[in-house]
Amino acid sequence: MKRKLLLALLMFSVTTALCACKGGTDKGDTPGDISSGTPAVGGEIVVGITQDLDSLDPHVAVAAGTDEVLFNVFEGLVKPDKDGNFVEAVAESYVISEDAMTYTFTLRENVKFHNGKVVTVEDVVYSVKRCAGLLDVQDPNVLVDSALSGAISEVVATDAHTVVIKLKAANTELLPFLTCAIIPCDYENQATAPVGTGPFKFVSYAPLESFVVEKNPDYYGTPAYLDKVTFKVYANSDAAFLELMAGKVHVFPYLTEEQAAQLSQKYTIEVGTMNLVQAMFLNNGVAPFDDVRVRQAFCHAVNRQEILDMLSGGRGTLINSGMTPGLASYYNDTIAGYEYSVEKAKQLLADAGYANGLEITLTVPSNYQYHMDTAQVIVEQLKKVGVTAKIVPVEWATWLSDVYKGRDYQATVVGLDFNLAPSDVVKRYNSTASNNFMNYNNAEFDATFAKALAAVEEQEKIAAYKDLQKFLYEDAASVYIQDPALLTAVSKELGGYTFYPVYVQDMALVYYKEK
Amino acid sequence: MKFILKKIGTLIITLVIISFLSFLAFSLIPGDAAVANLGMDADEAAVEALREELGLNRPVIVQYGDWLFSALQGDFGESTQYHLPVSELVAKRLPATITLAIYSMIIITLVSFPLGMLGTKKPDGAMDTAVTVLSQIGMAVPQFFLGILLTFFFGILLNWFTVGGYVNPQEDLGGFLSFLLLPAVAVAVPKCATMTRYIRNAVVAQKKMDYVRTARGKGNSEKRLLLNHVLINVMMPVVTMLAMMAADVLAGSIVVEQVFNIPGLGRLLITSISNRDYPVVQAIVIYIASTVVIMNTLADIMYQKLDPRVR
Repeated sequence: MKRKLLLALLMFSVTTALCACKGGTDKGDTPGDISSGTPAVGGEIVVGITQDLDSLDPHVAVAAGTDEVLFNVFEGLVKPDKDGNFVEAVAESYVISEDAMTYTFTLRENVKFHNGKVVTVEDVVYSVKRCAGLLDVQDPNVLVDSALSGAISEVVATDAHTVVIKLKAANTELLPFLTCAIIPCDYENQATAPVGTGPFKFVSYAPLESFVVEKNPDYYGTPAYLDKVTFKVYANSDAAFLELMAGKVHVFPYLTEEQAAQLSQKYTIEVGTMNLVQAMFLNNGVAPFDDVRVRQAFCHAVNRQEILDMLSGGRGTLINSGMTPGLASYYNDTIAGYEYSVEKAKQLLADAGYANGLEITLTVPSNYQYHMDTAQVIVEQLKKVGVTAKIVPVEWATWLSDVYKGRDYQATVVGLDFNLAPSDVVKRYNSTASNNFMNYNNAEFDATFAKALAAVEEQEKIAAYKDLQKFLYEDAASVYIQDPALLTAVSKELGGYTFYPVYVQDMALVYYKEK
Repeated sequence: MKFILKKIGTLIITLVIISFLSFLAFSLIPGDAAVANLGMDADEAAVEALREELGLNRPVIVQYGDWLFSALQGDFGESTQYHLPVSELVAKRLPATITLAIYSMIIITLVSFPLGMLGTKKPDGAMDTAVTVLSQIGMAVPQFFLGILLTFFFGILLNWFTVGGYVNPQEDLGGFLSFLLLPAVAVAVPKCATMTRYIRNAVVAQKKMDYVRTARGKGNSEKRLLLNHVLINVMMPVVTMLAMMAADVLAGSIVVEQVFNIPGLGRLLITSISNRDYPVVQAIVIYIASTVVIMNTLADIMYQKLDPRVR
């Protein structure tokens, strides 16, 4: 009996060893990287995403993870390109008046929605009004873009090809918000069967499973190479990792450093940025962070380079204030930042009356592993200056409700995304802004912001925005850390994967390399 | 008949209490569907308008009454996240969860009975120790790790299994059934281990009883003794365990669903909780509570069949 069992075990191990060998040779057959070959038309790919779509209606969707996918299906009057410029999409051309009070758009002829209908001025007026909350009957599910609703006074069609947007006050920064999707004005099923004008059209959606799109043959611009793209939803990057190992996924962003290292044989690892302002945000309205010295002490106490080294192999872009270099000319690169110094931090804490140490709570959204990990590193660093920090992990809805809306917290670690308008990044620091969850309050900042927004002359605007970043730095509004690196695995068979300065995955540029 | 009626009564009372408790729990935790749906940048007026639309600003007891009234008519409402009928969302996930449950229950039964009795001939002998060690390992290995291990071995090295190859049963029934086999193993292993150990201990304990000595004295063979006398007495507590395990696997395994990327009930439940999607959460809670009560009732009925003294 015993011998039989032993024999069976032996047999099993031999067969598995043999099979393992076979698996090995299979993998060995795959040819190496054919460097950026010529694009072939056609083919299907699977793109992994870790966040389910929160809505298929582009005006209802609020998650960055949804926008990155819907970018392929919908377009606005203009759309961003990879360099952060805004290029004409549904509009053929636009004119911003001298006084920056009116934007005039001329529509492209014969742009067709995916349902075959031609885009009319009525559709454009309806879409812009819907985003701006200006419709007579407004769907409460639609997220009204406050940048649009605050700025626009009127949207009118002056003829069959022209739409004029009139503003309440001069504003040269509205273009980035006019990327809001143009949808048909008389279509009811946007939430279940979305219809847009983009290079891909909707095929199917299954909650928590997949979102499938196919090439739009009637696209007015450069058509997509791929015939079909399946965005497959994973619970997290660990679940996706197994399928990446098996070669079942062609594109997957948000890899961790270790995962990227393990996949580098099979995939090209593309490195971009997440376009986030990652920081330890401090509640300036409550003790101990109502004291500027404490905030500055924390800026000195956090070793930001160490965070990058530990979490992302040194990759990522350090930031010294509330803006990222993605904002190009508006970014203030002359701010030196707080140097890492335990002595200075201790001194400032002692000055503020915390010579004998301090206890604080870090409330962190637990669904973002990267921010959780960052918080862990910070906790260790703070120990060196006598600060005992406790991490309280909360789930996203709780964070949103308690920290972001309720402002009931001391400090948190999170990343804030933004539209490519400089105002969108720093607007929240206005003392009266509804999303000023740091309770930052500086009258000089408020005045300068108003000036920046109203400025029509570009140099004046740039100077004002640079000043704003300086205020945030000097007041140590928060401990600004970095714009994190985004590691994306792209199958070696594919080319054309492109990073944008906003959070999108443009599949129209991706192609199979000609063999 | 009276027995069945009594059980149905218990079921209804249990469901009403549980559904109310979960409603209450939801009203106590921070955040609601309006905040979750509109995200970071909505202003308070917009959130309030959506609350009004979804009926979230009514008193909890009114919301619950409204929900209960509809639910009693079989209408579980619409998901606040997906804008789809809850019954449709849940029904789409049941085939995967139920198939997984059936598979793993079959595996548990087929593996743990023989394995549990294997070593009992000579307690603490070599075979018994081997079984004990094996079941310890089975209990100790975390499910997600087991899932990863199985996927790596059978999916990536051996290629016997298509990683991430889940298909809907409507599309490809064969593919659906064969894909779920490996996840079922991942679900079953820790439970097999627990069950094996349980059966082993029960058999060893029973064998020390007086009736076994009597039966042995009457000339019964060891095999006959085990199957006809010991096993029947072991069955009573084992049936309870099996019923509890069945209820557990029917509730959907969150961990295994995540590792194998199966769109089952567990993932839907987790997602719905974080989106504050009350109607979906309520429906799944009701489903889980019903399976527990029904499984326990089935266990009671089994008791009666096994031991006529239970009435």
